[in-house]
Amino acid sequence: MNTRLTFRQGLIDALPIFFGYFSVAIAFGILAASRGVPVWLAAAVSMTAFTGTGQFVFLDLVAAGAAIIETALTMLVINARYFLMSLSYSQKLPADITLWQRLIIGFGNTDEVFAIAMTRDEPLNFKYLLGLILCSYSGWVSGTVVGGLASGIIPDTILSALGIALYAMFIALIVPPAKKSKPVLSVVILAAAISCALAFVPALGFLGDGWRVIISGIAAAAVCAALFPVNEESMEHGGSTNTSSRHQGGKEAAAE
Amino acid sequence: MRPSIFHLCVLAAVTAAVTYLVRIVPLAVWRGKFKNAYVRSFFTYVPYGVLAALVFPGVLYSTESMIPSLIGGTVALGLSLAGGKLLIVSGASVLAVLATELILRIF
Repeated sequence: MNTRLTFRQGLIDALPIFFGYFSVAIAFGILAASRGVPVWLAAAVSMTAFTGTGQFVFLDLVAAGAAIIETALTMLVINARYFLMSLSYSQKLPADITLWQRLIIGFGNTDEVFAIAMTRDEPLNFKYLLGLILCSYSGWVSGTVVGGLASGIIPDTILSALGIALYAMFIALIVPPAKKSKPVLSVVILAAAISCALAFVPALGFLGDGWRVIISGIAAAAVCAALFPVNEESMEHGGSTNTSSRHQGGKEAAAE
Repeated sequence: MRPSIFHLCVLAAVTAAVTYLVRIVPLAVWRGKFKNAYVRSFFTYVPYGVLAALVFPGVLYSTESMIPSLIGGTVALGLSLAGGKLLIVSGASVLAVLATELILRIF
């Protein structure tokens, strides 16, 4: 067994994302069709934007007859968390990664790909990330087309039930590191508490989901970074999962 | 009034462009690691904070009503704590939601 993450491993690791995306994208395709967006355009949106929340909001904007500026600003707010996530991502990428590779990794930086990549203990590399991205992307795009063409055939109950798939995946990704590391557990509980408070206090409703996620994430990480500083050594293992049994410390340090 | 295809295309292009820029700028501009220990710690914890905030309370609204969502989320949490693999956790929670929705429909 190789300690280096491979392209194939990336494809395999992204299978849960594939199924989750496929089903959510079907819902997107159906909704797009019901709003008068042709299948080819819905597919084009999935191919170029490759983002869940943003695309559903795109459909709302279309229905509301939104202007260009309004669309741009709304997308900026909804997607602002990606800025934070990409910055966090940049800290985990190997030094030898080229600009081109960064441009591709950035495009593929969805919540789910990010979640899998960041909870991996092994040093990341481009091929592995490409595997994750391609597998997820194919699920997202094919689901959109299927949804657009099959709208009306798939029962609502099944579509609704599939809505939980990606959330369940997030839970499965954050629970193991939170179980192992007290600082990670603290971050998770604190962020969840702040997020729920922001969501349920009516006076704070104006924040919207985009800001809520960012504020909660930043506040929880800021507090826990002060309480539990991470030193250089444990950096690579911050929130280590139990998938890292094949670690070879020396090799990792020498990774090009 | 149905928007024209041209207008739809423009909005789609804006959506894609803004989404891409927000994702790519930090990755393209920021190379190398942060020196400051606090900043490094902060960015180690950010992924968990953001993911937790995405899940809570979003998971409650992920299906057609709150009870199935709550049950699906609990199943996911329980199986994750027991060490379940991603696909198992995800699949079981979908089935739990489906079962709950069907039961609720009967009553």
